[in-house]
Amino acid sequence: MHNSTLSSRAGATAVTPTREYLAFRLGDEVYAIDILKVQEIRVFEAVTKLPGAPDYIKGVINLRGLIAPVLDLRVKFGFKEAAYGPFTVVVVLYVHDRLVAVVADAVIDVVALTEDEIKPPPEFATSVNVEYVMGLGASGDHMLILLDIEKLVSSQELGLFDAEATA
Amino acid sequence: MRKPPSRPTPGAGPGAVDLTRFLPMFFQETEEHLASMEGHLLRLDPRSPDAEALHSIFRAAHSVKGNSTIFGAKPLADVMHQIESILDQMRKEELRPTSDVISLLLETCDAVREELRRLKDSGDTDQTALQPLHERLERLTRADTDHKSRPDPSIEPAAGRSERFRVEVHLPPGQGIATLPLAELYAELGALGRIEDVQASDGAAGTLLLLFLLTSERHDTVRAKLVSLLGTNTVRVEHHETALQPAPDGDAIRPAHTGDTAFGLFSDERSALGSLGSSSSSIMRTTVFDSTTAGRRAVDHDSSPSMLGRRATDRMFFDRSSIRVDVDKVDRLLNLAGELVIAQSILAEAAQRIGAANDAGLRDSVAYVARQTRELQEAVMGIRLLPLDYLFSRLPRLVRDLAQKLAKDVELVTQGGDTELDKEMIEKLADPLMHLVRNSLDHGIESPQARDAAGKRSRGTVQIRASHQGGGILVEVQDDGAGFDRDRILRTAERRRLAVHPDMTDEQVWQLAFAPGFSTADAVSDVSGRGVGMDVVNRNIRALGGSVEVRSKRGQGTTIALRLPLTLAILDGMSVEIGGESFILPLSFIAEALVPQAGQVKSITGGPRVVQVRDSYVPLLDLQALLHIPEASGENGIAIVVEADGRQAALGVDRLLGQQQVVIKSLEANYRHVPGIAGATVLGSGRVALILDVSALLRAGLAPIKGMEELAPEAVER
Repeated sequence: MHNSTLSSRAGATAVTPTREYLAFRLGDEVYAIDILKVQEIRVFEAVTKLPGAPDYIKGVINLRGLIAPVLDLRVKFGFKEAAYGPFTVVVVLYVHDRLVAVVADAVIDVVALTEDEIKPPPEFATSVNVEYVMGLGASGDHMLILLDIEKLVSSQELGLFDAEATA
Repeated sequence: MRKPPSRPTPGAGPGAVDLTRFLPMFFQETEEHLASMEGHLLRLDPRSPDAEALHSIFRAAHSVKGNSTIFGAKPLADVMHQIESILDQMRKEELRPTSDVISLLLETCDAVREELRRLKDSGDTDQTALQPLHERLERLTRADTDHKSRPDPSIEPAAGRSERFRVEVHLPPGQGIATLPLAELYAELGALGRIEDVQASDGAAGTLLLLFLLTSERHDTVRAKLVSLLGTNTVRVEHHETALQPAPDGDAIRPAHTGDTAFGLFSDERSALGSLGSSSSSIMRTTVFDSTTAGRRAVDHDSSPSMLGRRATDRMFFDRSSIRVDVDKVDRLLNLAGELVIAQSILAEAAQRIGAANDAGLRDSVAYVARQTRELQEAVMGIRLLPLDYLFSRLPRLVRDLAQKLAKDVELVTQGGDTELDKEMIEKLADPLMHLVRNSLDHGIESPQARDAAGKRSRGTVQIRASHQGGGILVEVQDDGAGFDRDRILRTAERRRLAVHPDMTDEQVWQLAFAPGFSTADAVSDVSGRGVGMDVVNRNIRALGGSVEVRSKRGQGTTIALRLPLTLAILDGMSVEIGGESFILPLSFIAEALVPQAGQVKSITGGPRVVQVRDSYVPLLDLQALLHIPEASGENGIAIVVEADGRQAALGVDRLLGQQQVVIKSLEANYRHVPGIAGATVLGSGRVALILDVSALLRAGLAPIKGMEELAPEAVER
């Protein structure tokens, strides 16, 4: 029914071989996530804690009737400070047919990057978390850390899903 | 004679009408016809079979035969044809519906159902699967006809007397094959003789339905029958010899004759409905199809003898003015309605804040929205409700088969089948209910001899009653059998090293029967006695938020009462606060709540604590520890005594926040299973509260149930 609008949009993306990323701040670092995975951005509200959950899972929130876990990557990545202020937001992602909300200190911008602009991540021997970095980009003065959010969210290590769900 | 396996799409070649989209309809309808046949067969009295019932079975078999022929499922059609013959003989009182005959017919229903499943799954029928039944049915009709020495209608009429007619039914373009009263067409023609090689094709000139009829009737009779059904302008009957080429020629397709007063109305109506049908889904089409035939009947004064019966079928279709809707759509609606309730309560709170009390207009509108929202939610929830007859209708067959196997004489009485329950609940209730009925027949009802000896009626009774009870449903399974054997249960319990003492009350003894793996059956039969019985029933009913209650009297019978909430989507809960967090405790698990006085809580060996409730000591579970809530300001001032799996424990909470109905949400949809948590809900404030899994908390906090550790975990879990 809406063929005309759909095809024109599809045509537009076909001409420019770039992808759009949502850039957000965690502490002093700027991360970027594939914008197609982002469902919405909300103000951080009180969460309901989950018994026995790891410290980086803050709890669950109500997303219009659906219950979604809230993930604080600042805690997961071992940042010294993980404060919640008036600018703290949650970025709601839709990954692997599931909703997950990720805490961010602030949302910066939507950035378009071509494949060439993405540099491969450095290979550290020590950090496990680097495993979830797809590459590095740049936007203005910021260095963007491109997160492989699918890999991160579905990782056994994070324990967001039941084991059989990820298998 | 048998053709290779055929896809259920007749009408070969280009332009053939694609009937596959009608397949779901075919399966559904056939399933309904089979169920109706089964129902009537089970109620049939061998001594004096009810003519109307025989008629209904015949009609159902007829419809299945007709539909099967259309969809190319020849084996089904053949078997149904035989059933027709048998029913016909019964109607003429040439054959008695003895128990054996009925069993064979029921078996045929099962086999046909099996065949349908195969057709659904693989798209093919197994040409040989029905062969043994075919032969048995054949023997039945043969044996009888030999005895009565009358021609068997299931055998082809002698070549000399029968004739092959070519029947063409033409429809103008735009009028699909589904606008024809196909079931009746097949029923009528089937009564005249044997239908062969049905083909349907769709061309620019219109639609053609072509079939051959092998019959001993005269050309006039066949034609008259068809004309009365379809109207003169669409039918052509010819001797087969004169029409070998099945090509629709232009002449044959005459447009609807508007000058014909008798059929003018009918034609107009049809084309109007036909075009409506073509633009809508196949489900809509069914309705249209049925109402057309019924509507036409009203103007078309047919005087055929089976008229009365067919009118009844039409009415049945008419009365059932329902639509089939995907459950997912209903669930989405339910979700939205639930959301609306939450949005409404947020709105109400906001109105309160800005002082709605002073503004009568605002206050009234907020109250109005609240009322309408709740009504909407209830109405949407009502869509998911189904009558318990859905389950009860399966029981007569179960009871009959079992009674026969166990050589017992049992009468089944059901009551309150119109009581409605959530669809999901009904599905989950099926197994426990079947199990209880099986138990009643196997362990409850005695053999006719034993009953005679005990001075009871030799025929035992199993009664299933359903009724509304408060906010839920009560389903009772009652038998007038031997009742629970107290001594035997105690002996078995002792053998299984369960804690027993001779002074236990009957209720406590009956509870033992719910212990996992408990069975007093001397021998394991394939009916029951495998020891995965009552505990599974209990577990399943508990999982549905219900409870099981046993009343039994030695020699007089047993009643097992299942209490269930109306729906799985809603739960009656007590909202409690522990360490600053709100949790929901399902009311069905709560026995009582008390504020223990100093000295009522005692510790044992320094650690674990018990709370004194009247004259017993109930273990007090540390919820804060079980739920990993960091030590907060919680004073744990209130003890809530809960009961699960026959055990009691007290849970310490800080505050009771009130009783409320909550909509159950899945935590697993976006996260994982959390031990001790059954689900989540959204409170009026929009915040999430977790629903506690009382069974799991007790399992985590208390020692394992005795006897349970002997079983493999999977046997316990399911």
